Amino acid sequence: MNPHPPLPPKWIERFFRWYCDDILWEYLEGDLYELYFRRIENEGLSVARRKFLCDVLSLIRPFTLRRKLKNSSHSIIYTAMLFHNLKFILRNLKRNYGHTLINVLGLSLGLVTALVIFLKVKHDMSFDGHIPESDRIFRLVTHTTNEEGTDYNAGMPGAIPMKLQSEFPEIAAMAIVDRNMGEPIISFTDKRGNPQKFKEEWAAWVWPDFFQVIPYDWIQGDPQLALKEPNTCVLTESLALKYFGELEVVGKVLRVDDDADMKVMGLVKDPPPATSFPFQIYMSKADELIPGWLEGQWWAFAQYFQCFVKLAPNTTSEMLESRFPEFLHRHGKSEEIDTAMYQLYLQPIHEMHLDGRYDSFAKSTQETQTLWALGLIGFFLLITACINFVNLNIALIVKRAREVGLRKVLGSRNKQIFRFFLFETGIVVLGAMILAVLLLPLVLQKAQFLLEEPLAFSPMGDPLLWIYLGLFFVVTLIFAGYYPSWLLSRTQPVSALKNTVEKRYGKGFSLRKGLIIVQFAISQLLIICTLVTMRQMDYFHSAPLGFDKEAVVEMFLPTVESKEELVTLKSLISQHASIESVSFSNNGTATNGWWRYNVNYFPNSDTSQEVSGHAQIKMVDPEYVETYGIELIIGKNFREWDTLPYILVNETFLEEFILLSPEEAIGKQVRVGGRTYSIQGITEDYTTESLRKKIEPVVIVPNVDNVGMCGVKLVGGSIQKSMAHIEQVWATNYPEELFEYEFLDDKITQMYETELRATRLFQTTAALSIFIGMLGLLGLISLAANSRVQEIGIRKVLGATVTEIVSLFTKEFFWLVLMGFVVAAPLGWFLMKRWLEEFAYKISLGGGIFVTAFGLSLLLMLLIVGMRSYKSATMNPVDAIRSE
Amino acid sequence: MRNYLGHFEEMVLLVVAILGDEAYGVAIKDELEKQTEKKASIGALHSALDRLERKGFLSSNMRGATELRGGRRKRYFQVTNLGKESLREARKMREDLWDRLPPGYAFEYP
Repeated sequence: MNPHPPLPPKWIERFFRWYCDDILWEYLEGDLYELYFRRIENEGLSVARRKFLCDVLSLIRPFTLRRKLKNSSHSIIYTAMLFHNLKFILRNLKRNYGHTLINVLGLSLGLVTALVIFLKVKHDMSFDGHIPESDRIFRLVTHTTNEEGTDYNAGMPGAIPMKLQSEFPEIAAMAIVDRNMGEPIISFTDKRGNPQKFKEEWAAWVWPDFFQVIPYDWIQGDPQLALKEPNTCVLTESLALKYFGELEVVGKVLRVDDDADMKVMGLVKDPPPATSFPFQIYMSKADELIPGWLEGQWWAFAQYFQCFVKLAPNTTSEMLESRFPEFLHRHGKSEEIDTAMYQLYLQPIHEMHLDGRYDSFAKSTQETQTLWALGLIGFFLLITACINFVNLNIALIVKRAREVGLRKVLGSRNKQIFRFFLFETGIVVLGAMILAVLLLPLVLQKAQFLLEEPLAFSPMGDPLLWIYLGLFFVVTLIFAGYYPSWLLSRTQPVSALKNTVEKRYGKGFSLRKGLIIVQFAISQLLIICTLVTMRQMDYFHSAPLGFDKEAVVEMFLPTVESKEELVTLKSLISQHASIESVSFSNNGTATNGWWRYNVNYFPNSDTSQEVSGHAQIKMVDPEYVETYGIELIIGKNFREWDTLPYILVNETFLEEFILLSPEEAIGKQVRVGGRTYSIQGITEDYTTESLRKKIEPVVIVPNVDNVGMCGVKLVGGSIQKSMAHIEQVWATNYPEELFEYEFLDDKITQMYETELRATRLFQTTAALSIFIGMLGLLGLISLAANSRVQEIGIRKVLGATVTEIVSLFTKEFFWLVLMGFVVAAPLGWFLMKRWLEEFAYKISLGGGIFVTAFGLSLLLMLLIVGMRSYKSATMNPVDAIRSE
Repeated sequence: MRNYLGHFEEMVLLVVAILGDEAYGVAIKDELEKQTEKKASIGALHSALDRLERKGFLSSNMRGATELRGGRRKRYFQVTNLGKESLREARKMREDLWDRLPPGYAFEYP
């Protein structure tokens, strides 16, 4: 026998001693050891170890546990006292009902916020998780670099998909999803035989293979064949119910944009809300895989013309990506594709929602950074609530020291008292949690304006939520309960009974102050964030855009057959006196989408030298400039409707391409989309997307072949009458179309929805943190005032004024607010500077914001502390001194 | 109520009696397994021993630490008079029942 066989695992032994009776363990362990060593001899070490664990587990029996409870010195009292203690705790909570209320309310407020944030983060993280084999599905994206930086495009240039598909067998399936046509008008005959018309928000034109790339659950139809033919479509369950009120829809015909009849070939289940493909109707692009205007293009990106691929098993995206440069080099040579400047990547589908660099179909994307910020805010609010708890409980020590002293005199041990107070904390936290869970559905409903989409709260089917709640319970208990309980359990019985505890904990307790500073810092930080985001929003609304957004109304045009049609429409609309001008253009001025083309500028009169890059294209009629109030620096507007070889460019174009004075730039040649134009005028810069982005070079081309938008400038008169007139014209000319319009200023407001949401989020959370913090402050100050009643009385008798007494209290808190500010200001400055960095046009972070934040929290503090101490200061000193 | 002796308890009690001065945990377990040809878990065995001792059928003392046991002592069990009495009673009850079997059912030991 090996003289020193390995001992059994330490942790198992420790576990055994932990649960086993103190009297029993020796001989039981001896038996265990004996068996263990014998098994090493006979059956080997690993079996012996396993059986050792089995034996230890098999010894968890009533007789090994029971005696432990019975024999340990305090346990008889422990079980018997449980209900007694519970009664005690409830009485105590009831007696200090003010503090109980503050604690429960504060904690549950903090918790509700944390829960909402948890649900929100969980929702955003779960995007596209339902798609089977999602690790094999990717979106093709391009990065194009120029001197200005890198552009991230999810829009796919027309030249790439076909070539890629034919050259890379690793791509198992490929599908384009095209949503550039916007929202089609869908008309059909319903169940009762009535004609119906809907503008469908979630419509996409997709390649026949779409359902091979992104699988759906099919109710009816064949995913392989459904979209093989042109003029076919697939509906989701909810759309079928909305349109027809039934699910028997396969074979029905929908008319799209009064242009094509689409046969319904299949019915799919709705994807869960967390999807990047929120479409409800998928229409086949089988007849036109790549639209003409994108065909063969390398530099034309349409943001909602995106390409998705599913890779063959055993292929990694890296393998494919490493071969893209060579692919681009080989095909792009003729188009002057520089692979250092032009890159193709595969973006995993589950990153789509969390990567804001690229445009996505579904609502807005959510940056991981935002989720972190949200989580941090939730954490801050929880901390604020926990601090209330700790502070109030520490302050209550004075009140409860006697109780602790008496308990000790009667034989309680430190450990018991500690457990007792932890138990009490646990009850309060539990109460707060129950309240929070009950409030949650209501809050979710009310908080809709903060979240982009409704969040579901299904407590039963969400194990993660319960884990989170359990975690919260433990963390809060430790944060809020551990220290005060420990402190209370250390109270010296003699000093407690002699009423001298106050001297030790009542005054000058630095941890409490530190915690209050943290609270002030958090609320001031959130106030700073609120102020900055609000100012930036104001700036978005008031900053000069370079065009006139007032009294301009925009309508999407249906497909226009001829130029004459436009002439007629324009003259009809212009008839009304309140209409100043009417303009047709591809997409107006500021818009969520853009048309970006490759342009070449020729500095000389011939084409010997050229500067290439890209610019946004506005295809317009001559009234464009007048309708939108765009200022010309030099040159003249177009005069004719015809597609003349003249263009206007903006100042940025001048600065980036031409580098000459405006006068010299007139007459220079620019090639756009295969045609060469000469510059006849230069406009002032105007915003083409939103103020988030820097103004890009813009080329304004007189061309009404591609118009999609009608802008009308109204002047004076009643808006209702003008709109009624336009609607009537619309109805006569396009009886099949829905009349829909949008005022330009509304449209611009909507562009900043994300920022608006951030502002609201900060407003709400700042208000919450102030509320919770002030709640705690109120609790603290009333405790302090109560314990100093006699002192105040004596001071008054000796001649102190009310002001002096009030300032006695406020002076201390003034320093705490200031210290909080010292922490919050640099942090807020740093965070908000980063937030503002995302915008090309932004406010400066002036001192005013910080002074306001400081002033505001100071004011609130003065209000609460001042009011409460004023009450104490005006009390009759006789009552104060007489009472014991 | 009289203290009832379960089947497993009865076996344990008998084994303790058979082992005499050598009746401690592992030895009882080995003997029990040998006699019944069934595995007995250490938990179940000690649980039964503990119960028998509380019923007064067993008494015990601690001695005999060995290196093999990590220096832990053994708890040796002896059957008390009450234990012997209850074993006898159990046997008697069983034999009474055997005796009362109708003649046709009786069969001999092999």
